[in-house]
Amino acid sequence: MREQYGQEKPLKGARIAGCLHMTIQTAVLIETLQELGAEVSWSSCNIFSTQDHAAAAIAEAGIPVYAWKGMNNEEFDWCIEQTIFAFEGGKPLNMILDDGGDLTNMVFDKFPELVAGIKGLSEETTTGVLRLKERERNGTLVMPAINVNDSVTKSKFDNKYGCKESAVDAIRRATDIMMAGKVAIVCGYGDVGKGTAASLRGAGARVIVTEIDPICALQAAMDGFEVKKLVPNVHRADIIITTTGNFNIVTEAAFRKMKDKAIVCNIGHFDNEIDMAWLNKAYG
Amino acid sequence: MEIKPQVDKYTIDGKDVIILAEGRLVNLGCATGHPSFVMSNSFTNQTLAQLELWQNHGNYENKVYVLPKHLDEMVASLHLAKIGVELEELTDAQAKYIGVPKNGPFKSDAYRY
Repeated sequence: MREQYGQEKPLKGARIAGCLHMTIQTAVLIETLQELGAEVSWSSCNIFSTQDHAAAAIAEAGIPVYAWKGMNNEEFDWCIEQTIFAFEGGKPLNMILDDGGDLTNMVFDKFPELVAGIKGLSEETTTGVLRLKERERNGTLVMPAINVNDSVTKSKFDNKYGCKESAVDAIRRATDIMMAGKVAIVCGYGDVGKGTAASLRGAGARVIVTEIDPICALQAAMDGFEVKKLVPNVHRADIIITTTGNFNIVTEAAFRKMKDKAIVCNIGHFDNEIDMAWLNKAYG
Repeated sequence: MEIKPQVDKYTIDGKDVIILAEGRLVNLGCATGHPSFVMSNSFTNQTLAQLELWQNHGNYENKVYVLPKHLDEMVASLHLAKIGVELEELTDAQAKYIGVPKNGPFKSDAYRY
């Protein structure tokens, strides 16, 4: 991209506020946007996803970046808000690059006066696209949006092959457990679920899939996975991982039936797939 | 109880449950997310989307769009050399036989891959 477009500076004049996991890969995206002529400001779309060394490198390059690993929810909102007016001369953004829709929602709901000056937005992930579709239906989508998630070279690669690498990587780094022989339940068999199930199977885990969609359930079964309901089978699982993009997947009923030392985690965008609110209230 | 950052233990009915990354994205909370090669595909799409909206926003209504297939195919093309992939090419006769342009797009929008 840089070779092809770097000379022309086709993004000259664009003031892009981005809200996407501040990792080293994202740092390269930011540099690319800048090399194409844009002014860029950045926040992370998850309180834990920032790699501080990546954020530091971006800051050192003089790009306004508001992100660090392990912030609280108020700091999270504060960071996103800072990016909106972080451009030269205090000018506001004129493009949105979002992952999950938190920046989009803040601009639309809290700074509606800025909307007229914004050319459009691009959205990275399934969850954010769902929010945009809802706005499109109820007439509150106030600018053109490009759904990047449903490019084939995004969802069929990042969501699938990405999770295939990073799901087991995360569980190993966090717990150092032996995967081979363990029973893992993967909730959901969309692109993320397919990658996650393959990741666990590749490490030798015995994988059970849960699904609500008959097509995905049949795919899972014919890919060789056991497809079962969560609650009646959760007592068998050493690892439970949610991949659905929906909420209230692992709730009290499942928690009470888990075996001792079960590992529970989520690889979907938001933290409501596992009912953490109940867990923290009852046992926090 | 925190065992280490992003690894917490809860005791429910006398049994322990280990929660990773407080229920948030585990691959980014407990590891470093997806590898660069696959993210390069995603972010090339992001860059193309920003370019398209910046340069041609007049062509779009307030709706949700996906990038056209020729750009999707371009993203893949840009990543093939890195992993040593060789592509066959359609002959004119073959392109005509399956009814696609010789240089793509190679599939209809309904194709699911």
